[in-house]
Amino acid sequence: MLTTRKALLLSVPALAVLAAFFLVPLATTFIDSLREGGTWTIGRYVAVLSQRSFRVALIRSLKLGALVTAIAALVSYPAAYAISKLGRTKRTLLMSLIILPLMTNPVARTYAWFVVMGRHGIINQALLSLGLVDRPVKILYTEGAIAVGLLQLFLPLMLLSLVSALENVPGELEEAARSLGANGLRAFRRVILPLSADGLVIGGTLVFTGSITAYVTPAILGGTRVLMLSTLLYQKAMTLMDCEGATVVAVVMLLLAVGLNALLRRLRPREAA
Amino acid sequence: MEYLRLARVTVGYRKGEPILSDFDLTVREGELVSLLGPSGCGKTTTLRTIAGFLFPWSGRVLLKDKDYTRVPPHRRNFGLVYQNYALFPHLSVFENVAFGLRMRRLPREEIRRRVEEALRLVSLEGLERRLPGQLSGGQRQRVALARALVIRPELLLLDEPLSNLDAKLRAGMRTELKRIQRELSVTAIYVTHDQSEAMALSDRVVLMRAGRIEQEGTPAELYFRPATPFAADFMGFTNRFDAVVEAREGGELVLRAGRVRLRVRGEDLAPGTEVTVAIRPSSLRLFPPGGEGIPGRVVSHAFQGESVQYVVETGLGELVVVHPESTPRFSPGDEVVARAAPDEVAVFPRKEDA
Amino acid sequence: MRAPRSALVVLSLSLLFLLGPFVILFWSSFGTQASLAFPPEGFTIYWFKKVLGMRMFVDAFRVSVLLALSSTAAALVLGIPAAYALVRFSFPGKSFLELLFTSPIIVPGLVLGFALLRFFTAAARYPVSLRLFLGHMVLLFPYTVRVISASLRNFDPTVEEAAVSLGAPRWSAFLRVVLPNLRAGVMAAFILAFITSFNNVPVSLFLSGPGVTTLPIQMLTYMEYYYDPTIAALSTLLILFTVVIIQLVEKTLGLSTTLGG
Ligand SMILES: Nc1ncnc2c1ncn2[C@@H]1O[C@H](COP(=O)(O)OP(=O)(O)O)[C@@H](O)[C@H]1O
Ligand SMILES: [Mg+2]
Repeated sequence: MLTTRKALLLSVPALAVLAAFFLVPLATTFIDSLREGGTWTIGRYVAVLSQRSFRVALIRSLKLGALVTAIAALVSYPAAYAISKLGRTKRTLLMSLIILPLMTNPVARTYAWFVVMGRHGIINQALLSLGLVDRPVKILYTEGAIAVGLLQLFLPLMLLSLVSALENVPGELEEAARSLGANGLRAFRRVILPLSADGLVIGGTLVFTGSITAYVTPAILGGTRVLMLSTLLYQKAMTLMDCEGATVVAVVMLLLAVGLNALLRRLRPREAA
Repeated sequence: MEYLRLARVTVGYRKGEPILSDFDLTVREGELVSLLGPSGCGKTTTLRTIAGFLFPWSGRVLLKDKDYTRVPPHRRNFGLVYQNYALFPHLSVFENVAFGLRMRRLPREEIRRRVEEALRLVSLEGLERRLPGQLSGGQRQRVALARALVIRPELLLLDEPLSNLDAKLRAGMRTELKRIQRELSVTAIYVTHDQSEAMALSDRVVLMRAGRIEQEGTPAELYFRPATPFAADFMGFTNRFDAVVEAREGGELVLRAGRVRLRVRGEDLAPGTEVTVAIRPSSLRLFPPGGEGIPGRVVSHAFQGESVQYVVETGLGELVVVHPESTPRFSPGDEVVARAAPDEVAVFPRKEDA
Repeated sequence: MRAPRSALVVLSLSLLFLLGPFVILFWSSFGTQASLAFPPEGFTIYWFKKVLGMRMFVDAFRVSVLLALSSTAAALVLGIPAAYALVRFSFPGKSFLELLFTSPIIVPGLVLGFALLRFFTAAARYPVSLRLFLGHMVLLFPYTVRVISASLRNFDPTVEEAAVSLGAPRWSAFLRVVLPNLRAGVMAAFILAFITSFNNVPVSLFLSGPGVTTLPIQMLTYMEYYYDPTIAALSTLLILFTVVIIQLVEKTLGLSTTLGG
């Protein structure tokens, strides 16, 4: 067909670039992770999976990812609901404030937490002056610090998803539910929650996948001791010069991200992100 | 004289699912032909095939005996007017109309002259510098028309051009469209699903159904002599019931439906033939009980400005009757008989697909 | 119906959490101490002067801007025809292309950077700047395809057909009629891609090299050694820069068109 040829012609440049600088690098990384001395083997996976540092990083990534996703969802529902009930001007203003952390240089964004959580940061100063502690407590370089940083980065994503989902729930529906005798909480559970579930699922997947693969936040707020998968990958590749091990970590991260995305497509084929 | 011809055209959007199969259509020079039919029957598909945006899988498109089947759309010189106008949102009225002339690389002076002429034709002088977004629906419609006409098209193709206008504007534009088409004597194909629009505008009407031609003829032929139950239904013969031919007397058929006997002018049908009878609400008249006709009882009446619409319960089902009167002569509960003018009744031998 | 009080409280606290650190950072970047502390003492713009005069940051800034501009432009040049093919044509293999064209977003940036590092190490002939350019182009491509596709979908195809019926060949109809009406979409894609490239760490982390380092990577490097408020001042400048961009986008295009693509 004539149109097929035209369409292919238009997409050939992009196809070629992606094949050369996206598919091939990823495919060779994947293949190399399974090859050793000219034969196929899962030896590298066995080796890496048996390392305590890897298991700790994997579990920590999943744990923090789940924690951040859950908190983001819990906070976002009421906040997004409040936003969706605001007038246009106020809503636009709020949205532009909310996306600021998303659009800001990640090092600058994360560095801001230094001033809050550092040894001489605002929290420690407050604790000291209130006499609750007599020495600065360690807040930076903990799992908690990473979780806080990730939450600041990904809360906006969840908020955006939920606001757009809630905007699509007609206000009359909720009023109808109320007029039929449902109280606020029940109207929410029976009407709003099911109708905005799409936004929750999409936002949740974005937040979870983003959290377990983010680099800058754990690198700055977790340091070299509290490693997540991403910081472990960097450490193996650039500091420990363990390229084989790094390849395995990379493939694990890739499979997690791709798997979660495929799951999302399964659940909501229409609007996968 | 034969001007445009589609010869056994088969076309569709997905392999194995043709929308038109072996479709034939002929349009004569200077004539305005309507493609009429319900939504989804393939009118737009036909028009887009003529315009060259869809390639026939088989068959040919001929204009003045020249084969256009493989001519790309931008070399066809056909003017197109779309339902949504499809104006270029970033160009002024003037530039919209001038677009086709610029494509033809005409001298500036001639472009200016012809655009002005076209805008005058559709009474839009003075709006040259406006953007489409600053025009009313009716004005946009006129720009679209001027843009299609200014290239002096060999064929004007209009796809439901009036359906986005409100009723009052629509009536005005209809007359104007007809005037302009006559004035320029441009051959035109007009797609519509509105029966009255097709009647008012066309020299000839092609009634389509599911990718096929159901009937073609002059507006009067379709209006008074629908050839099939589908055509009758589409032309407003909304009262329908089954009957049997009892006898043929002179030029008339005697039909029997239940206990009712009906005289109609009709085809040569043998006694005993089962038929479907279709009558337009305005072809029925109500009378006080007695004599021939379909007896029944008035269920309701409703004013419709110049006329009154009655619903009458009869042994043949509910009939709708429209009387040209401003005060109703019958009230709900009244016993009546309904009679039809013998030559305004459509009779079809019964088939499965009716 | 208005939102209940409790929802408004949660919203306010969220905003405090999201923006509070920026305010504190802003404040402390004017402090006179040589190490970060709160509350800051005194008032000085010394750190701002210092950072603007530091070669390493000025050079890195220049690299970042050039990289963002060039890779964004390249991603648009590839993305516009690809989006057009995806939106206007239907052909076998289309859903595969759609998936492929969006997948660089799905793959974690760090994994992409690492895979590209291995690939470029194996093929040594690529200079550092070209590596960065190619990596960023791949990274940005899905954003341009997505935003341009969305605005193409909103542009009635019959308008383009009308141009063709008036005598314009397809390519000319595209240039004269489609592209001018895609301006907002192209702008939105440009801004989104530019910011994505300008802020990127994971891909640049692996592909930066001697002499060619992007601003975020340079900041990370600096932070490994120094704790003075220089980075605070630079971060403040970058946050203000982002605020300006968001305001511009909001005024000219509307946020939802830019983000919702
Ligand atoms: N772009 C398309 N792709 C697939 N099917 C289409 C497309 N356009 C129209 N069709 C189908 O072709 C048939 C005829 O459509 P169309 O010609 O638009 O009808 P009409 O103009 O008479 O309403 C319909 O069944 C419609 O669903
Ligand atoms: Mg149609």
